[in-house]
Amino acid sequence: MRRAISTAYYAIFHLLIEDACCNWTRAEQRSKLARMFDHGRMAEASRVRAKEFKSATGSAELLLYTVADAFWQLQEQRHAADYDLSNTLSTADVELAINQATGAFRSWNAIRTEQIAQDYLFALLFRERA
Amino acid sequence: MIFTAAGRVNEAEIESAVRKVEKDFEPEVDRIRYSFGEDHLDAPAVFFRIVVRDEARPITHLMDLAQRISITLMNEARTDENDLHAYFRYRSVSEQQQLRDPAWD
Repeated sequence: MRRAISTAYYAIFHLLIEDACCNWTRAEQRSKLARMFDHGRMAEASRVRAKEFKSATGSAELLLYTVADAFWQLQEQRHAADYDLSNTLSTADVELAINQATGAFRSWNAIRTEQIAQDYLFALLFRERA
Repeated sequence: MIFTAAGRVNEAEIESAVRKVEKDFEPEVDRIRYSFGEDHLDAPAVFFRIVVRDEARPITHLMDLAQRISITLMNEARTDENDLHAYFRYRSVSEQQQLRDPAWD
């Protein structure tokens, strides 16, 4: 069960990094770029988007909320699953994690080329100036 | 006492918000427990543990219910305004009876 939660998180992690790196035109540098992504920075960017769009009415904003919320919620769950063995897990934890990741994939596929999604990818790597 | 970048968290306000949400979702929710702490990024956090009735447990229903409860709890407890990271976990009454985790009782 711990492994399943970890995998659900990493599925979204790699999905976003892969799409972000595809924006880099020099293909031979993409693997190096992929290693520059930081879990904490990505969580913070996701939390900002989830907070911004949780009451959104536009469809693209709501779809991005699904992705960003899944990312940062699953990152915390993955950390607890991997490092806190006193933390009891239920089948519901696992089913919800897998369904959340599946929903994030579906939502991402619907908006991945839109500006709002591309801005999110940028924010996953680069801190925006206030 | 919990302090965040937004100031001191009003724990009584959060308790009251949780009890309200528990009541509003009574047909599907058995109880809501929570605790304060820090998440793995060392940010002040509140961890909600929601026990749903067995009838609400089928995953297609639980997915929708979980999203509604999570957003309602964040809005009622004003977690974003308090700069408190809110995390949510769900399990059914039957699952908790088997796991017997005191934090969920």
